[in-house]
Amino acid sequence: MESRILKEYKDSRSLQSQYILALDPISTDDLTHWECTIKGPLHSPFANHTFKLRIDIPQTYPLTTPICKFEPFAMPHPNVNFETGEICLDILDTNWSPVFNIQYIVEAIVWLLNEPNFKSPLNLDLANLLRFDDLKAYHDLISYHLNNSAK
Amino acid sequence: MDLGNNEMFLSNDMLHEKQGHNSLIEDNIITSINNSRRGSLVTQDSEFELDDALLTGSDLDYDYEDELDDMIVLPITNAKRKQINEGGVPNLEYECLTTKDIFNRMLERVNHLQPIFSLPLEDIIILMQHYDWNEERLLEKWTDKMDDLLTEIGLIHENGNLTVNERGVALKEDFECGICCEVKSVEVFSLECGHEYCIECYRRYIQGRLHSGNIITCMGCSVALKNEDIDEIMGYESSNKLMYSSIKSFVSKHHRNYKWCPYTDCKCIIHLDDTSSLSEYSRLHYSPFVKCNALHRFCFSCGFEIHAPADCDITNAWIKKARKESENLNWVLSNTKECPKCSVNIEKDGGCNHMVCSSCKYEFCWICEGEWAPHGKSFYQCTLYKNEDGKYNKSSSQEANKLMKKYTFYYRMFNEHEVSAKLDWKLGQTVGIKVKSLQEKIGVSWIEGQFLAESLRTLNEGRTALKWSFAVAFYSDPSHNLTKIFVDNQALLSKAVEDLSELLQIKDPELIMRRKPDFYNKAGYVQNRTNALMECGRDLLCKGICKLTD
Repeated sequence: MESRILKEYKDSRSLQSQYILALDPISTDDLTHWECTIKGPLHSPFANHTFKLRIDIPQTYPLTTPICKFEPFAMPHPNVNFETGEICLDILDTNWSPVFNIQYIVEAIVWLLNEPNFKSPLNLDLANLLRFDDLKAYHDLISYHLNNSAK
Repeated sequence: MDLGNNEMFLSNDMLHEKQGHNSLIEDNIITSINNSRRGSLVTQDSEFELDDALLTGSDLDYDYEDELDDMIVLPITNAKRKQINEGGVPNLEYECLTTKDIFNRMLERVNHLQPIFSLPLEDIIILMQHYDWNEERLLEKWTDKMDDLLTEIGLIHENGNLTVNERGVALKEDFECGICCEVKSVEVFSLECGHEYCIECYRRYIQGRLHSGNIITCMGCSVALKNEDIDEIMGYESSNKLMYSSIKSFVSKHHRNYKWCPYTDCKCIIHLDDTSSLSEYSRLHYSPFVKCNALHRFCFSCGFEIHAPADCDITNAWIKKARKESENLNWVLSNTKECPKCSVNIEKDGGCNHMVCSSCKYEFCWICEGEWAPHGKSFYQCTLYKNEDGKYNKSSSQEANKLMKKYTFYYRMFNEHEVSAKLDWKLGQTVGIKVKSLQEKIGVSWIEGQFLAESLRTLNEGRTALKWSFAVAFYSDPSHNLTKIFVDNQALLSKAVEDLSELLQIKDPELIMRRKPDFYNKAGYVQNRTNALMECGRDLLCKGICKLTD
């Protein structure tokens, strides 16, 4: 496990990505807790906003998934629990494979911001707006929350 | 050791039966497998037509017959036991199996299917596993789109070219494994897809998945590991673990026909082929009690111990009530919900509200406990869900108090007999020693000493009936005459049970032998009283004097 995380740490130093602004361990002494800043994808209601993710690597990594959530919470997204920041994403659960890495997860989360899945909702209100194709209301509600939390 | 010998006795009996109805039993096995896959009420005849349709044209008919005779060598105790009930309910025909037995039967099926697929056996096992051992669904898909299926399940690499890479273990120098990122000279495993990982990572990876029952794939893509690969990596017969866990999920999914023996550490599975008679049982307020090969008896419908005279509904209501009242189970009630379909307790440990029961795979909504499928359109219902518990709280607190007192009384009685039953169980252990000392000290033969074990069994049955009779009494109308008779019956049985229990406490071997007639008398009396109480309880249920109040 150690050399694996060390390698991911090294790779993260040279990381160049449009949407991942920062991907760092909270302390370099302990590589099991990470913090990440992502940018909302263009053409999504999250554009022009940045979000923080908290990633905890379990002892059994990479055989089991890292625990990953939005922190601080209040993230308005159909697949994110508004109160806890918990994320419902298949690769973070049943479809996890040891070949995936932290960077891959973060990319998948960025992708999720753009491609919400209303079939497994954690935020029912937003999922319903999406289900009934009320995109205007969907965008407005998200912007409302985002601007509110910015204050 | 009396119990052990007893078991021998039983299995000998079964052997006779098995030889007697040899071919009939084997026929039933094949049909039972078919039926179990459907999990529904299919008549045997129609199953056979289907089977023939599948197998004709493949020159298998003759072998098939042979196969049936050969199957007698299988280490399965597949003789069917019969339970005879007075009172006109149909006999339950069931069998007791283990995971291994079921897997062996599945292998038989795979052998039969092989000519249809013309694939290696290992591949068919994967296919069957993917379709939860549901042969018909598999064959349907197979005739539909064979190639897609093979790719989807990971039997063919997506690029279609199987010869690019060899599967198997190879030794490599200075290999950097993509999982642990360590560079070393190690054994490396890869499938046709060419994704190579060191064998240690593979071992850890497989170890964590052997109990899931799902197909294990390459870590990098969806090419499936076959049983032989798993054995090559993990060592001899490791794949059996995966197969058995896959069979376990098969059993859970067919919970109508298959039930695990609920006793701790018992690995028996009771298979009831024809569930049509179960409704008859519940209509007449009988319960379908079955006995596994380890001689544990339980109710096939609700999975509890023998609970006569109470029927399953009363039992369930009673147990739920007992849980509700008990403090330490509060957590279960507040943090878990029962699967609306199979009643397994589920704790939600994260994730979204789209729940999939790990036991029966039923999909439902955590909030409203409704089926998930119709949530397509009526999402808002879930947010409107309100906990209705509040409305009981204030109204008629006196009434509630009264009810509580009544319940506490019955529960105490129930509990008392449960505790006594546990003590009796301890007593049972000494009975074995007593029989032995009878043999050694006075030269009584083993058979002659059996009256002790029999008395103990009768005592247990009496106690259990007595225990559950309090659940019946709780839900019965106290003013009715029959209820009063029932209560009298309880008292009589209670006395009889205590007398017999006292008799069983005697330690002196000679005294035991001298009082042998007493044992017979008292045990016979307990048996009569037990039957009377059960009949009386059933009468209360049938006449609607004992019924559940909401």
